[in-house]
Amino acid sequence: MQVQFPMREGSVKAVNGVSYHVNKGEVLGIVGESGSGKSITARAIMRLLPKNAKETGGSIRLRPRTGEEFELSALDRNSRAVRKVRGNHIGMIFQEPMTALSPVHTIGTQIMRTVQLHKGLSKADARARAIELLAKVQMPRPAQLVDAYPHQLSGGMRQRAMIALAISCDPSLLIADEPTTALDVTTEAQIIELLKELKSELGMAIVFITHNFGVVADIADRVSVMYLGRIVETADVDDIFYAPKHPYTRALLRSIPRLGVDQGRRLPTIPGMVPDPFSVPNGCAFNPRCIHAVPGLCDTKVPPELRFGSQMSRCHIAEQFAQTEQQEPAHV
Amino acid sequence: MYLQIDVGGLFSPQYQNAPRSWDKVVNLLSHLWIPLVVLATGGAAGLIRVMRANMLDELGKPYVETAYAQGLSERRVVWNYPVRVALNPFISTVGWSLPALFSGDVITAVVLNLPTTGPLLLQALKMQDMYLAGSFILILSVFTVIGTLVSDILLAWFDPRIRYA
Repeated sequence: MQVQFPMREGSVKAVNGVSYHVNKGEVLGIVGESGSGKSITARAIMRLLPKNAKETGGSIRLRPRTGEEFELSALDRNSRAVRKVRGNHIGMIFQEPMTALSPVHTIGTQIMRTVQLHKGLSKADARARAIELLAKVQMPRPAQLVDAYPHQLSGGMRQRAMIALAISCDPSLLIADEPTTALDVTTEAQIIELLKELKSELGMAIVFITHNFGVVADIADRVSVMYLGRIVETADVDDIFYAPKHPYTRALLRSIPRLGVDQGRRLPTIPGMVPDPFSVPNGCAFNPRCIHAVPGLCDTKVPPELRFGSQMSRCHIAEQFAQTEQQEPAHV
Repeated sequence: MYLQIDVGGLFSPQYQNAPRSWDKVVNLLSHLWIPLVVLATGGAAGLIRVMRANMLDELGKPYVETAYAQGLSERRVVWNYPVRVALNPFISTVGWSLPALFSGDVITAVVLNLPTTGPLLLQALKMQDMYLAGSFILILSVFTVIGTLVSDILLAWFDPRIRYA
């Protein structure tokens, strides 16, 4: 998939050949720093790209439980077909529970609207369904809070309401765009626990976007690491943590503070800054900041997708990482 | 007389001193629409600007995206969500049109020869009749207060966040 933003200063390739798949009942974690194209990819799936974005290629396909197949990339932003998919087959949870719910409608109204739209329920049935959904996301006193406005709820409760809204039509795919970033760690843990329960109960596939490796380790089955509009590494969650094959993943993992280890030492960081999106470096986009970069190779040729079993790495020297791993288990 | 329409005053000459009747009401209405259009369009431009600015603010908010993600059509999203929120400042200022309606637009009244209080205030000021002018302004202030109260009540009815704050 490719998405560009044509601008006066030149076009920004926000998503530059990203490809991933999620299976039924699986959680795919997408990790990357701000501006790496995580959210734009998710919005492309929902067909909710900003109006100035231009899709320059690629395809997005969805096969929900019902067995039909949708070619989402062929659908127009506001077409009838895509509106049937949104909310119905794909649910989405946003980052800011404070602002992602309408401030002037009760959470019940917002859930009922979706259910009435896709399931054709009567008002009374939709209300019963809304209460049932709020109970399912472990909202306290669902029968009363269905009439609550978002500003009357706490952050964690709002995110629960948001999740209830997203799963209101039993979607086959749930896209969670940094759903716990704005929450404190206790609430974060509860929300992740809830998402895991819902996943096994409803059998949804989840695309979980975050920049927090701890969260990914907790919830994801597979992980994709993004850097500057490309997926640099995809692997099962254990391989990402114990056998990373891309220097960017390795650097990210090294820069996570750990309790009790390396006391009194500075936390390793990735040298340099994320390049500005107008001038993405030639070759491997990570080469100017990479400690393993090979001059003449990494700064000229875009690394191909190298596969190691189920693991994929876009790095010229990924083979070396694989070899050293066999000699001594990774220590990162 | 323009375009065969009698625009000045509240009544045609033959109804000026006639007793009350349905014909007289109809005649009044046929005169009233011009000041109505003038007064209404005069404030519209400003209100449109306010509304436009609010809408531009609201359209980019995350809850609008949530509404799209629910699968609602663009028209339903826009009318049910950002318009509802963007109307707030509109409602809070609309109450000020109450004193404006009472005083009439002085110019409209003078041009169209309407017996509203606008020309009266003008007269009073010209004649240095401070009692009349003073009480007139007092009445305007009272209407401003009442109008603001009406706005506040409307706002509280319209926006739950204001109700509970």
